[in-house]
Formats: sequence, structure tokens, C-alpha cells
Amino acid sequence: MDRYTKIWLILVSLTIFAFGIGWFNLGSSLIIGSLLVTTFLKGNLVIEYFMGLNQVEGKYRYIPTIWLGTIIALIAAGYYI
Amino acid sequence: MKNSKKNYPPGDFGVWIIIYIELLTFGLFFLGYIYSRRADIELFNASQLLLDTKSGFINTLILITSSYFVVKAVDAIKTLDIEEAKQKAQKWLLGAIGLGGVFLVIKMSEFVVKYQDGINLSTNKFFMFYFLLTMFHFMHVMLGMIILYNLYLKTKIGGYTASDHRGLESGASYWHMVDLLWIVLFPLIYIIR
Repeated sequence: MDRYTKIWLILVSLTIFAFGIGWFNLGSSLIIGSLLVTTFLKGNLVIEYFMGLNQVEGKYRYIPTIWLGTIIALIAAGYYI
Repeated sequence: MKNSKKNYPPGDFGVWIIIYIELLTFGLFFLGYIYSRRADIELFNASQLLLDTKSGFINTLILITSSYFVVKAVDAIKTLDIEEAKQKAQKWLLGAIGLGGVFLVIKMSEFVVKYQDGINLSTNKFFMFYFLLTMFHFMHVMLGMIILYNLYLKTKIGGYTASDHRGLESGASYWHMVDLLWIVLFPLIYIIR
């Protein structure tokens, strides 16, 4: 199994996890926290491996990751604070 | 040890400027959603229950898989010999375009059901954000499909090789951005309450 297929399988698994949270209406702080962490992981896998930014040096690599981290942090702040 | 990392992202730099601008634009929409939700959490939670989570879930799987197909097409062009790369990349790209089409059909049917239920942009603040965000994303999927179709046509005539595939990488990067935006949209709009 190649690297891209492994990443695709991880993305599918994390999406099923997210759907399970919505389907069973699980809304505890811990579960929503896990959902946000896995959303960050999913996005970062796409950024690093599908977009190929893991092969790039410096700022151009980190701009999308910083964007994603900021959005997830703001969602968390909106949810918890 | 020699550093093999590149100084610039894959594809044309221009497409990355567009990607950064799109991320910023969607980021502002997300910020607006988060801020408005804080002001009326009960309304947002109650409205969210009216959404079809299954459709959102299926569409997430579709976009992730479509993105995977595109990355396989780029990988085929980079690593296989010209003829085999051409054949395989064409199939992967056609698969990605097909999945993009399925995404649009599912999303459109969601919109139709909402309109039939009398729900639209002016129903309440949640649905204003729901329609704005998902319709804006919908348009990006359509544009992405047009780009993928052009990549497919150029791949078909052998326009990309292991040493020259910058255009393919540019289009692929745009499609991955469309996927990335949906990865954030799905939990934000459909799940978190």
C-alpha cells in the first residue's frame, strides 16, 4: 500500500469518527475537543501530503497550516469560552 | 547532507496566491459564523439539527477520495513512464471529476430539499451562513471541475511529463484547497453544537 492510500484511509477513518459524533449527537467538551484536533490532523494531512507542502521549505509550507490552526483555535474559542 | 526541499510550493506561484486569498476569504466567513453562533447558540444548535448530516458525511468522503485520485494522477505523471503515466493519470482525473459531479448532485439535492421545506437565506442567521458558505464552496467545486477537465484534456494528449507537470500541480493544488475547505466546513456547519 502506497503512502497516499494510507493517508486516504486515515482521512476516511477520521471522517467516520466525525460523523459518529454528529450522528449520536455527542456534544461533551472532550468529544468536541477531539473532533477539532482530528479536523486539524485531517487538514494538515491534505496540506502536507496531498498539496505536497512537506517538500517545501519555509514560509510557503506553513501559511496553510497556520491558517488551519488559527481557524480551529477560533472555533474552539467560540465553543468553549 | 544536501537539502532536497524546494523553495516554492508545487505548481505555478500564481495559483498559490489565489489559494492564500481563498483561504483568507473563507476564514473570514468562518469567523463570522463563529461570532454569530456565540450570540445565539440555541438558534444555531436547533437549526443545525435540520441539516442532513448523512449528506454532509458522504460529501466529505467524496471530496477526500476525489483529492486522493488527483494526487494519484500527479504521482503517476511524476513516477511512471510516459505512456503508462498518461493512461493512469487520465483515469484518476476522470474519477476525480466524476466524484466532483456526485458531490454537486448531493449538495444540490440538499439545497432543493431545504427550499421545499421553506428554508432559505433569510430564514435565520444560521441558514444565511449555511447557504452562503456551502453555495460559495459549491461554486469552487464547479470551477475546480472545469480545471480538472482541462488537466484531463492536456494529459490525454501527453501534455505532462515527469519533468514538466507544473500546470497539473497547479490545478491539483486548487482541488486540494477545495477539499481542505470542506474538511473544516463539515464539522463546523454539520457537527459541532
